Order: sequence, then C-alpha cells, then structure tokens
Amino acid sequence: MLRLLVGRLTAAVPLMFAVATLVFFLAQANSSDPAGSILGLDATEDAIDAKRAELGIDQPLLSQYGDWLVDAVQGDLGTNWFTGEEITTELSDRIPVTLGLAFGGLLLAVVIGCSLGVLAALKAGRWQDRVITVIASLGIAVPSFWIALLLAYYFAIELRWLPAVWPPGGPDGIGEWVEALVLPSVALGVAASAAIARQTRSAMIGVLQRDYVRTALAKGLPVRRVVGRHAIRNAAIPVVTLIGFQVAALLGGSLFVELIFNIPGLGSYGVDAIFRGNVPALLGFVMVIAFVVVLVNIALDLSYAWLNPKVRVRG
Amino acid sequence: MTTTNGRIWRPLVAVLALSMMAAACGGSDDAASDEGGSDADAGATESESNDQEQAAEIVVEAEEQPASEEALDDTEQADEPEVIPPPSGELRIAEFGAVTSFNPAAVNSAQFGFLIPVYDTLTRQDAGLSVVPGLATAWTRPDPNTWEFTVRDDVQFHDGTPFDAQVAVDNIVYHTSFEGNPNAGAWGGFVEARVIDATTFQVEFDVPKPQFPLTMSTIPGMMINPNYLDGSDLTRNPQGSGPWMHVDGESQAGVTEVYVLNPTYWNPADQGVEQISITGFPDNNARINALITGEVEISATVADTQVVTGLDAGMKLVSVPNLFPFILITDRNGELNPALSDERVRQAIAYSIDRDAYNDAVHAGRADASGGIYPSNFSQFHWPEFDDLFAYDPDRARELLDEAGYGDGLTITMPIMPAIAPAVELIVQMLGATGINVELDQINNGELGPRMLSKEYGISWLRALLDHPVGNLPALAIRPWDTFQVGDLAPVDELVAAASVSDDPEEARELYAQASELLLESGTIISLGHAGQNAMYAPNVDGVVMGLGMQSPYPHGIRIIG
Repeated sequence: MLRLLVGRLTAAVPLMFAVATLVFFLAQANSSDPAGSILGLDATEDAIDAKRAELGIDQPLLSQYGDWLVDAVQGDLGTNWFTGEEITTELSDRIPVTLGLAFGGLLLAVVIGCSLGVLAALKAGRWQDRVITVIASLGIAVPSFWIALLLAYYFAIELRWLPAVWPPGGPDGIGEWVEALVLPSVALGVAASAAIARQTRSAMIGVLQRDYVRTALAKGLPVRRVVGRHAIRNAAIPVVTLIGFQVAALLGGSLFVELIFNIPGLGSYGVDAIFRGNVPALLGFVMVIAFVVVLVNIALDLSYAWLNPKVRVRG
Repeated sequence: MTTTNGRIWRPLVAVLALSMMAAACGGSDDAASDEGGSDADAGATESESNDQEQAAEIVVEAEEQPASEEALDDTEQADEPEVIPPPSGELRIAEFGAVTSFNPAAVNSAQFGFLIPVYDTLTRQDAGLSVVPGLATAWTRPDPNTWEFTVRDDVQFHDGTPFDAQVAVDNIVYHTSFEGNPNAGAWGGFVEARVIDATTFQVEFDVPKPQFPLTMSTIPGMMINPNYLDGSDLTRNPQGSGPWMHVDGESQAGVTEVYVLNPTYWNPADQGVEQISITGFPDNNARINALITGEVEISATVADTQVVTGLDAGMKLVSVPNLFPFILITDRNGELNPALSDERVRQAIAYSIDRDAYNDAVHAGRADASGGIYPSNFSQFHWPEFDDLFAYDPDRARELLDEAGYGDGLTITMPIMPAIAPAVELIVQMLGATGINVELDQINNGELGPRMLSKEYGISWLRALLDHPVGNLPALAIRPWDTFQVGDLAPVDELVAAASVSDDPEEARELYAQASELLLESGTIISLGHAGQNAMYAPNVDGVVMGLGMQSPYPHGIRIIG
C-alpha cells in the first residue's frame, strides 16, 4: 500500500508541472494589459511602465515563467495584482470553505446517488426504476446554478428556512457554518447524485446477475445481506471511479454556486481572477484545484486497493 | 460669490463624476461598476445664478411618514434640547465588489462605500443632492478660478493628529500628485493650494471650477492623516478622521471589511450605529437576496431588474437618476473602420436601436427611454425636443445605409466584457436586424476605458454618471474625440465654455442644448435611455442618503430602528 501511495505521489509531480505550464502560457494568451486596468484611465505611460515593472510583466515570458515556477515550488504563489495580498494567504482563507462545500455536495451525492441506484437496480424494469431514471436524467440535465437560484428562492426567500447567502462577516460557529452550506451543497450535489445513481444502478444490475449472487440467494440468504455484504462492494469500483470524476466536477461547479450564495471560496476567487485577467490569482486558483483533485484521486486509488485485493497485490 | 451653508447653496455644477468609463468598465448596465475608470472633469465656469439650482431630483420609493406628522414632530421638539441617541447595533452593507484599496487617491467612485466610514470629506451632499458642510464649514469663490474653504478646528484623525487648513492643503497636493490617480480628471487645471490661516485655505486652478465643492463631497475630497502622506501604503491601512475606524484584524480582505466606532468623532450625531460591516456581493441575485432575508440592512448598486423584487418584499429604494447608458462612436474619421466616418452610417446605428425594448430588457422597464442626454428628472437640462430623436426606425436605418453605400450591410467591431455582456448582446441583435454585423471582441472587466482611449475600438457601449453639462458634455465628447483627433466636435467645447460663463440662465441652457444637439445629431452619442443609481434598504433602517457621484449611500446618520 505504501509503495502504491509513493508511486501515485511521484506521478503527481509531472502532472502538476504540466498543469502549471499549460495554465501559465494559456493565461498569457489574454491580450489584456493589467497595468492599465489597475491604474485607470488617467495613468501616464510612465506610470503604466512602472507598474508593469513592479508586476514583473515587462520581463520575457520564459523569465516570468521561471520566476513564478521557482517561487511556486517553494510555496509562494505570488501577489495578487489587484489587492496586493499574498495569494497563498488569500487562498488559505478560502480553501476550507470550498472544501466544505464540495464535501457537502459529495456526501449528498454519494448517499442519495448510491441509495437511489441500488433501489433502481433492485426494482429494475419496474415503475420505481423508471421514476429514478427520469429523476436522474433531469438531475444531470439541469445546471447547478439554476438549481441554486431555485433553492435560494424557495428555501431562503419564501420559506426562510435557510440563509440565502453566506453570513456577511462569516458564520458564527460550526452550526451556522453548516447551515450556510446546506443549500449550496444541495445545488452542487444534485447533478453528482444523478450521475452516481445511474452508475450505481448499472453496476448493481450487472453484479446482481452474477452466479455468486444467485447462489447466495438460492441458499436462502436475506436480500439485504446479499446486497449489503457482497453485491455493493463488487459494484463499487466503477462508482468510486465516477466519484473521482465528480470531485473535479463539484469543484468546477462551485464557481457559479459560490457566486449565487456569495460564498467566499475558491470558486468565486477563480471567477474574479478570470474576469479581471488577474494571472497570478488565476494560477494560484488552478494549482490548488489541481492539487485537490490529484489528492482525491490518490485517495480513490487507495480505496481501489481496499475494494479489490488484486489491485493491492499488483500495487 | 456663493457661499456656505449648503441649505442655501445649491450645486449646479458638478463634475464629479463623469465616471463615464468608470461606470462602463464594470458592473452590468443596471448594476454599478467596481472597476477601473476615472471621474472626469471639464473645467469650465458656471453662472452664479445657476448655483442656486439643483441638478437632479432624487427618487425615493417607499412608504414615508406623512409630511404633516413630521412637521408636528418637529414643532413639538422645537423647544427641547436636541438629544442624540447613542449609537447602537451593527449596520451590514452589501456592495457590488470588494475594496481594491483604502487609499482615496488610488480608487474611483465604485469604492466610495468602503472608504466613507473612515474618511471625512470636505463637503457632503444632503438628501436633496445639495452640497452641505463636512470638514469645511464654508466656501467662497474669490475669483472664477479660485475656491476658498474654511474648515473646522475641532477635528482629529483616528490617531489624534489634528486636522487644519495645512493638512487639507497637504492632502490636495497628495491627491493631485498621486501617480495613477483615477480621479485625476477632477483635479485637471490644478495650479496650487495655499494656506491662508489655520482654518482657511485656497485652491487655484487655471480654469473656472464651479463644480469643485461638489467634487469635494466625493472621493477626491477625502482627507488622509498627514502622517501617512509620505508614501505610506494605505491599501489595507486607511487613515482618516471619519466616524468609524477600520479593523483589519476582524476583516477578511476581498470579502468583508469591519469598522468600529471612532470614540472621539467630532459629530456624534453621524454615528447611528456602533459597527459597520461591508461585504462584497458580485452577484446581483445574491445582493438582493441578502437584503430580503435580513442578512444585510443595505444593498448598494441594485439592478433595475431586482428593484421590483425588493419593493415587493417591503424593502425601500433610494435612487439617483443619473445613469446614462449610451453608444459612443469615436472613430468618426474612419481610422479603424471607414464606414464610421460617414454620418449617415452613425445615424443608421442610432435608428437601429429600439430604446423601449432595450430598457424593458436591461432595466425592467424602469428607465426613461428618451433620446436626449439628460432625462426629465434633470428638469433644468432636459430638452423635450430630443426625446424622440432617432426613435427606432429600422427602415430609415436601412435607407441611410443604402445611401451611404452600405446597402449590403457592413461589419463593425465592438468590445464586450462580462459585466456588460447582456446590454452589448442586445445591441448586437438590434444592429444585426438592419444589416449591421457586429464582431465582438472579448476583453476583461475594467479594460474598456483604457482600450477606448488607446484607440483599439472606435465604437462601444458606455455609461456616464450625469450631473451637469459643464462637466458632462465635454467629457462625453472631448476626451474620446482627442484620442482620434477628429476635430469635428470643437464647437461643443466652445458652446459649453460660453454657457458656463453666461449670466443669463436661459442663454446658458440654450447653449448647452446646442452642444447636446451636436453630440446627438452627429451620431457621436447614441442614447440608450436613462436609469437610476439604486440602493435598497430594510424597512427598519432610517436616514439613508445617497448623492451624485456615489455608488453607495452615506453611513452617516443611519439608524437601525427596533
């Protein structure tokens, strides 16, 4: 297992390097002049030149890239062009919020998705299966930001059950923190729930047709025990793979959900960086997201080993 | 010349803000900007008689206490000593974006809401948009190019440093010499500031600046602690004398700023609340939702499309009707696109715009869809004859294009950025219907102004914050005109200059009308209608005042009732 972990971590290094390189040079394709944007209309050419020098964007591109990479390897992601704050500081405030949101969405997706998927598989071809399939299709089709708007309207504005926005000034205690994340997590988790439900249904139907399941049932074992102890574990591998993809999708979806609920997380930070052409902030945002996705995938790889002993042996 | 007490003094003139690019560079068409840009200035004179008039009428939609009851209350309390209730509660405000800097010399009007709790301005505006005393108690104009201010002698900054005329002069020098000051236009023509005595100073320009007292009620009039004028970094370290003090430790940069009471403030009546927190809400829905659900007490920059939602939920509205969205055509010599040098093509563009449809879509039908530069709220500068100018007529647009040799259509390039995308896309559809194909060039928020001035685009959607023609008309026309050196609008400058020194208000009005007509008839400025700068607040909030050149209300005097 340790060798597996070390192997995956080692493989993550070139991946992160590739992501950093790609994003850095793609960001340069933006023809904007941040110095002019920061200083405003009345800035003189000298002031703009001085600002460019201060930002380091008067240097050759490869030199800028080299400087950024050297700093990034040491954990210094640079300074936000517009706020003057250290990007690592800004991101560190926001990472827990977005991870909390993504975790909430993922938890919801796994619990609801797996439950509905198993139920649909057990009732395959019957009305319950059809209803769940239709709901899952809808869940995948409807974008998360639209669900977020509807949730905010009904549960926050109309019913006043939950907050419509992240509490200004931050939540007061863990209770308020969780409360503020309920609606965004639901908005984020719906599509993932639907995808997981469909995958679980498909995998479970395949497993339930296997000989060992039929034998177990023939021996008189209760359905609950056969499903819970044997079938689910064997159907889990493709579902776990899908969950890995969903983590990236949840982090991507957080860009819009965070805006709608005004959550000061990575998503809103990324959107702001994109709209302003704030390259260092954008790079920092992408690197953190990439790092989280890599970590999650390593965790999923390790879970394969737990689910399937053959992986452990090969590992 | 005119003086003092703003109850009497009515600002006529005002420049403060062309903010045309400022407003254009960020924020949707109905939500104000938080991005780049500048408050421009024209530098022209204004007749003394005009100084007694008011530039615009403010709109307040909400249930008000009947006037008779207010009068009765005033009468009953007239003989009693004024009792100022102690400040209580926290005022939570939703702003459009986050603060970019706490240095008044480094930000534009979009940042007003974040800075005004900390910094005092030399003057202020009241609920009727009149200029009233702030740190300055009186102001006179000894000659057309000079203003003399008398300042309070009981003011001190948060660290105890006293404020006096020398400090005001040092501040003005700092503002005028700050590299990259987005309000540099407001200081155009500055010659010098000089101390007369401990409480009196003069500011001299090389042109008449009748609007200067109004300008001093906005960001350029914010006074900084003199101990920090030596190049100290004020980005996250505001140093003012205002009613509240910024607490960096309790704030989260880019998210929420927290302010606590200044215990030594010179005017306790301004301090209605103990604490203020201001949070950036970039999304229009989130901002109004936060207000309706009681997460904030005030929501600044409310989109017109959200106003009805707020009013239906029982919220109150304060709206300053000075937002002017328009299409600006600067490439009138055809340097970038030869077609735009033909006046018929520019007029065809104007005839292609369905202003009613635009205002229904972008402003939820709340805007004034007239064709002039000033809406009817600006009664003094509203000319009804322009209301139907270039009214939507696609057939006439096609005829003009045909006459100009573009019967088969033409292609123009316009910039688009996320903050203005809905408005620009609507215009593209309208132009497309008459054979004008628009290629959109995607840029970042905050880049529109600089790119227009660097001649990358010859036509664009823009927005101005109107106050008075003496500042607005030259700023609408001349600055962009300078970039392409077309030379066709020089008469605008001459007409405005003549109007600004005229002693006859009717003559001045006529000259301004002629200047406006030149801008409109030449197809330089194409009106898209007129909207309001909106803020909404909860029913339990009292004392909300917003002025020209501001995108947020004053926190001064606001109290939370119950």
